[in-house]
Amino acid sequence: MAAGVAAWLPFARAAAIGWMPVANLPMPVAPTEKNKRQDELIVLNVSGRRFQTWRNTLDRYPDTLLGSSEKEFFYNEDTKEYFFDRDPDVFRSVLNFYRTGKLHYPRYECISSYDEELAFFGIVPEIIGDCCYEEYKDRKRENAERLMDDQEDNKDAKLPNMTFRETMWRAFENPHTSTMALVFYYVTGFFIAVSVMTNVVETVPCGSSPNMKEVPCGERYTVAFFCMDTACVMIFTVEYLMRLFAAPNRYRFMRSVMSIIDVVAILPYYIGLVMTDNEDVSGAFVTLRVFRVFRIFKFSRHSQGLRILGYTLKSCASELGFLLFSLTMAIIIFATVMFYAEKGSTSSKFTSIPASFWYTIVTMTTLGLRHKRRHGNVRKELTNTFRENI
Amino acid sequence: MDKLEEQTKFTKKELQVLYRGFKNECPCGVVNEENFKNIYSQFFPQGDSSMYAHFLFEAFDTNKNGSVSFEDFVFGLSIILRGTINDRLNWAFNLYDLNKDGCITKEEMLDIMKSIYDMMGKYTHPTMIDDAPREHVESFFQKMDQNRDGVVTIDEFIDSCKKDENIMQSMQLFDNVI
Repeated sequence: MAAGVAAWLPFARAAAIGWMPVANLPMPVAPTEKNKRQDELIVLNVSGRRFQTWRNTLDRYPDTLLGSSEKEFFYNEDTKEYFFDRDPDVFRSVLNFYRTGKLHYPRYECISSYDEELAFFGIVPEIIGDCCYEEYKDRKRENAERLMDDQEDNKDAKLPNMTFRETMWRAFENPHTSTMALVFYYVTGFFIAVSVMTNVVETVPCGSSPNMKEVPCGERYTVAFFCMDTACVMIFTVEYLMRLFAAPNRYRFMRSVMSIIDVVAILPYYIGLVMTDNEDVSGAFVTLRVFRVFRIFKFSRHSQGLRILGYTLKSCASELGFLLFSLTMAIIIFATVMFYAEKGSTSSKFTSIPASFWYTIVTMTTLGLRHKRRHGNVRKELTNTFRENI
Repeated sequence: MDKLEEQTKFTKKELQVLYRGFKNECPCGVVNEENFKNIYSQFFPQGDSSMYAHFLFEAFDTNKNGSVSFEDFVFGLSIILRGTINDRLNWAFNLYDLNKDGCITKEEMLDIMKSIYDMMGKYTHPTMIDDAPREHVESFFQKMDQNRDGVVTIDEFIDSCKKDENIMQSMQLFDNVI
């Protein structure tokens, strides 16, 4: 914008005629431009493709290569042109920047080659116009991630003089580095599987005592299951402590998702040890055992795919959140309508709005309740409305 | 473009430069008032130049169709920059005479003065007091209104301007703007 406006300078000066007659003092003399030469065409030869532009166009941005005297280094006396041995396609965008004042990023261009050209011509990428800025930032971020991935792959080379602690940490993070690490990896994997299987089998009814009903295996072989559980928890605790010891940044390790999962997986056992035989909290304790199922998430260390799933969920968290939010909105709206629609009827099950939430949720997810015939045709109509909307 | 060259006093090269700048800023070939105000406010960022730009626009838009074409623009510029003293004073009178009835009243002058003061912002010298435009108008009328009838006609205006040394000197400045 500034570049084009400079061409209107004569107009701005001419407009001074407006206040000249009313001025009390004579106007100051306008500064004359020294060495104001006629505008001329200059030829820019970029790898054989010739671009021509006015000299004034390039002079608009004097802090870039083309706008300053730095371009004289590339001047070819014989052909009277400036020769640059660079990519002509990217140069198009660069030259358009001088012409229009806006820098655009072409989508088909590789981000690193584009950045290199901009750096060569002395243009800061931050001035990319709003139209292309998003695309540029996205590509740049992807490129940065790719570089980080590459760096991680290169870390497999064994560095000399690593302390025992660092060796251990590398063994934990990359099981392929040594045989011990591989053994450890498989052993922990095995025990995770055993632990999960134990939890499942515990609840299976297995044979009955002659005088009682079917009992789940957990109650029949209490001691055996307790020993299994203890063994697994021992292994997990030892593993967690070893990781904690080997971690380069203990505080960050403790905050990481995997370590939280580890802690949640072994905590119920210890809590159970502490508060056995206390009738009041045993109910809570049973609930706590549910958390043992989180041991299955420990498999994420063993499965790349599971980790990727986790990252995917994390990266579209905002979209999922919005989905949840809009569903909640719809549920509340419809539940309110249902409640007030059936308010008059005495045999209605919708005693309050939260009570109608259940019905709404079940209908919206198209599960459908198997309901007996009731009064309330209003409800039937509303139900059909929901089904059509989803 | 030859026609333009004849009617205005610019050379071919000057016309080319002017046209390129004009077309760069307004690719559709005509300026409307919004653009005008926009461009002008970039030259005077310290104050509010919208009123003055509006008056200027009215003065440039000779056929009153709400937009200034390149021809209008160049005609106006040619009078201001290359015209005789009489032409320039005529053009200035046209700018001040808001309703184009041939004479400048005190109200019109007050409007113009206020818009100029607005445009200059806080950088007027001496520092502006609220009544400064009004006083300025009074002194202007003192100078220009010879028969004391409350309005300034074109002849009075040109006459008084020619008698004023300062104004004549300032007019010389336009000679080498482009």
